[in-house]
Amino acid sequence: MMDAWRRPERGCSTVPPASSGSPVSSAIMAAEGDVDLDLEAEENCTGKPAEKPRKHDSGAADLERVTDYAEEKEISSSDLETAMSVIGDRRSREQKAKQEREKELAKVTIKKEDVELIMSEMEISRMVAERSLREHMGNVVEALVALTN
Amino acid sequence: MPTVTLPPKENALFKRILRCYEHKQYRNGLKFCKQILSNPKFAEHGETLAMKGLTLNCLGKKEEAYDLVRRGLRNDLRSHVCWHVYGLLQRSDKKYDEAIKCYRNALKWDKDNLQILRDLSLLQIQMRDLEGYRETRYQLLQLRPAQRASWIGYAIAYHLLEDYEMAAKIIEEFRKTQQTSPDKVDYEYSELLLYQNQVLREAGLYKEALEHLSNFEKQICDKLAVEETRGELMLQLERLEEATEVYHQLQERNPENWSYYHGLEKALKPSSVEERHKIYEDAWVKFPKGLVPRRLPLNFLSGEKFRECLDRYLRMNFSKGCPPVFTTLKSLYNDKEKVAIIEELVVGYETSLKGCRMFNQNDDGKEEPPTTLLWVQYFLAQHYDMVSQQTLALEYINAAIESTPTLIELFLIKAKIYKHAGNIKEAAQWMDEAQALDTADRFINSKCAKYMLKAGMIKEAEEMCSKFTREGASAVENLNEMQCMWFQTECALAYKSMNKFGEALKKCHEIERHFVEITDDQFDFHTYCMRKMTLRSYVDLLKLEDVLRMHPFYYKAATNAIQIYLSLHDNPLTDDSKELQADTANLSDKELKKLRNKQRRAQKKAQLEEEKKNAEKEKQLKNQKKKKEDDDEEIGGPKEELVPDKLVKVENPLEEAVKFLMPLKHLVKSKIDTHLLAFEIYFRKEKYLLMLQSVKRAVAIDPDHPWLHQCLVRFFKGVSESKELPEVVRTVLKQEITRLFGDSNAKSFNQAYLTKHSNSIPHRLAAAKMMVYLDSTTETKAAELAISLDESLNNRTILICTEVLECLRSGFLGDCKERAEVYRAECHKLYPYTLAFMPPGYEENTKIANGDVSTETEELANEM
Repeated sequence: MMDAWRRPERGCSTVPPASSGSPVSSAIMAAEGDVDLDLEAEENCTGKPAEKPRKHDSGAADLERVTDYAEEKEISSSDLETAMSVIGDRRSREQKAKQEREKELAKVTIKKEDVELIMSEMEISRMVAERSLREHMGNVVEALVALTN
Repeated sequence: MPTVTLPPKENALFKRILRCYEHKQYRNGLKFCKQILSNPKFAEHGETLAMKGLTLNCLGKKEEAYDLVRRGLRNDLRSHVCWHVYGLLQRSDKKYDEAIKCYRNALKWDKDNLQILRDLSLLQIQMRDLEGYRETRYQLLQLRPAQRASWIGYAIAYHLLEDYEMAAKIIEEFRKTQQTSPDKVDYEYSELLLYQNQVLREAGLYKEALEHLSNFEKQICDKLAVEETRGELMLQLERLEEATEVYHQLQERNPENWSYYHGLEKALKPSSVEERHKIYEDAWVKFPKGLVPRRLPLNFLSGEKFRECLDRYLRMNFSKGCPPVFTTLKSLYNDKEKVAIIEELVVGYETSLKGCRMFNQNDDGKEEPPTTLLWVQYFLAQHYDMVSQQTLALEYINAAIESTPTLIELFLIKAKIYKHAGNIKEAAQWMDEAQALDTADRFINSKCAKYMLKAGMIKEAEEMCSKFTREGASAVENLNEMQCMWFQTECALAYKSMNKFGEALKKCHEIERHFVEITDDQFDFHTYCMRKMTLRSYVDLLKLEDVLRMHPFYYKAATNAIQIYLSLHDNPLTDDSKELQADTANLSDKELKKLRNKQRRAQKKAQLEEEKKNAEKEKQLKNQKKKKEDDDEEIGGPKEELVPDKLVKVENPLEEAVKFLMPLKHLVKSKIDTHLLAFEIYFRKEKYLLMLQSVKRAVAIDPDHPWLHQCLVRFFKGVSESKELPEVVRTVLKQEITRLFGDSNAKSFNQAYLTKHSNSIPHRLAAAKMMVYLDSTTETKAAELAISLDESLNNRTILICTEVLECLRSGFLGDCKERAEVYRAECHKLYPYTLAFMPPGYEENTKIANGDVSTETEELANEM
């Protein structure tokens, strides 16, 4: 029996990428305040009859469910505050350090033609070229040597 | 905020549209859209129009969708819904950068909108904007600290940014909020614990990790993971006795797992080979049927001990009839001493089995069944193939086939031997023979197709594959749809060797598209995995996707494509005739006439086939269309079609090559070919600093590589002759070349290289080619350098000899047709099976003999 050897349809191709559970409604409800929906009045919305289950499609069916919409689960606990405070101060310290480094780099004066030379010779974007030049205190030779490593 | 507010009735309808969209009830959604839009007061209601577009997009009507969404947005530029919808639409089209912009616009009108923030975070993780992802996740946590996903997402952000301690801290805070009873099995909680433990280990907090593991052991469902992690942690913490205990228990569970033996070795720290061996001897007593405790010691034993263990291992396998036994020993073949012992032992078995049906005539055991001799011969055939003695290998495999002509494995090996001997046509025939013995075996079927492709029989290979592809669709298309990349890689190589560059490029691009698709496929899992708490697998997935293009399939497709683009740059094609001219340049009139006739016939045949194919295609197209109509939920716009003729006439082949190169430069830095291919591209683009970068990286891997040598010589020559280099560039070049190579005179560099490697054929060829490159008057001397086949020279292989022959024929080493013929004849003596060295007219003769090549080559072999 040759059929037994055939691979089932590749699962991923059956997942409609556009339908990746991206609900807009909760967005709107959050914006406008909750309005109760009359769910019971909703008629049967199934657009078309359920597909017949195919023999090897269990994997594909599981993948289909990957994109289903699901409500977020909530934590029932009340002592979130301490948890929140743990992460707070750490974050601010981090941002400070990062900003200082950026400030330092921004102080370095660089020449526009150096940046352009690096861009064209190394085929890289302006951002990367500028950054490497700043990191080498504007020394174009050193920057280029580092880039060719 | 939206400029138009809908009255309650319409507002309720609008909510329903959203609900229908979420639950994939698109047709109903459209019905509700119509109800709102049919009211003349709201015919141009932006948000409804946008939603109608989004819904239509899910039904595959992309153009209409874009029109509606844009119209909706124009009608209500201040609505976050319209911007959000536009973002979703772009996202479904994989325009992630555009989608991010849309979301940012949406957030301008509603900065705390959860759903938009969530969608933005998905795109950021997909694009690996990790800093941005952390920011968005922080906002989400601030807005909704009570949601599980907020915490997990924030922790993952830190984990991916490699701030393990912070990640562990966040998970711990979150874990404390989870109320679970210790008796209840909660899989999601168990996964969370294992993820937390993984983060602790990656943070290097082994002690804490072990404590954590012991504390929560009862609540973790994956018991095997608990034990394996415990063993690893005990080793890290140098608690060796406990580690030994753990690995002994794991061994009980599965005595065939290599890693448990490695764990045991690390825990017991044997100080001598004997002690090390004892670990395995003990295991052998405990698990008398185990294979691993007998195989592993062969890696570290040597001499008499090795022979003893090997003897026991082989006898057991041969008696039982275990086909893959050779494969299990293959890794020992880089040790010459071990190879000699294997050969001696197994050849001894064969002689003795033939004489007295025992492994050794001094054995007083019982006789072996006749199959034992068969498996011994099967092993020897593979052994001699491995050590490049194909004549002997064929002798053994033929003897085995004679005794058991129905065993498929034997034909498989025979085909393999011919492949390694350089006769792929013969190999394909034997593979076909193997395949014919069991047409329902998919493995043999695939192997056969692969060999056919290597032999350039593309049509035949397609037919072979069609036995297992879906009926009613063309095999090639079906295999593309299935992402069957080995097939496409071999097709690309086959087309390339026929100079059908367009077709070959098409295959390479198809493979590249598979990789794009695999990257896109991860999108849905950003939400799914967090919801299901399968965080270990999720982080693994992200890490895999980051280095996806490291995969050999991509590497092969990319290197092929780059090589083709390079040769398209060197010999651009303007029309089809040129493709042929390249081949016909060095043919006599008579040969040319013959060729033209042949071409004409081939053309006619191709035309007929084309017509047939077109008819078939039309039929298929109809089928497909029908299918598509049935399945209108299927979306994903049609990609630009890959047309071979267009691909081959690309305007800037070097830019195309760079596109394939970039992932390799980032991900496959360890392979020298990556940098050498990069050099070839930049050499043609005259980018000296990028050439410098390539050779610097290549030198770090293998400074004596023959191809690298050719790059360096051309590089030095180029640098010394270049005129208009910017001063800065010149300074960098001079500084770096002096630092790395000292002298950079191309000629003396080449001479020094030749002196250093004068005993290796590939190195000699490289030096010879560069001699001619630098000074064309040295042709004769160079050719003489290249053609030496002396016994004493190293690295003599079929491959390098073929390359030398090609160089002689193509005039790369000067005009030396006669010398090429002499060289071919010499090679033919060395490698009697290799197609490339067969006398002229060989292939035509075999065709007349009606494909009965086997007897002829066997005669040839006997003559040797």
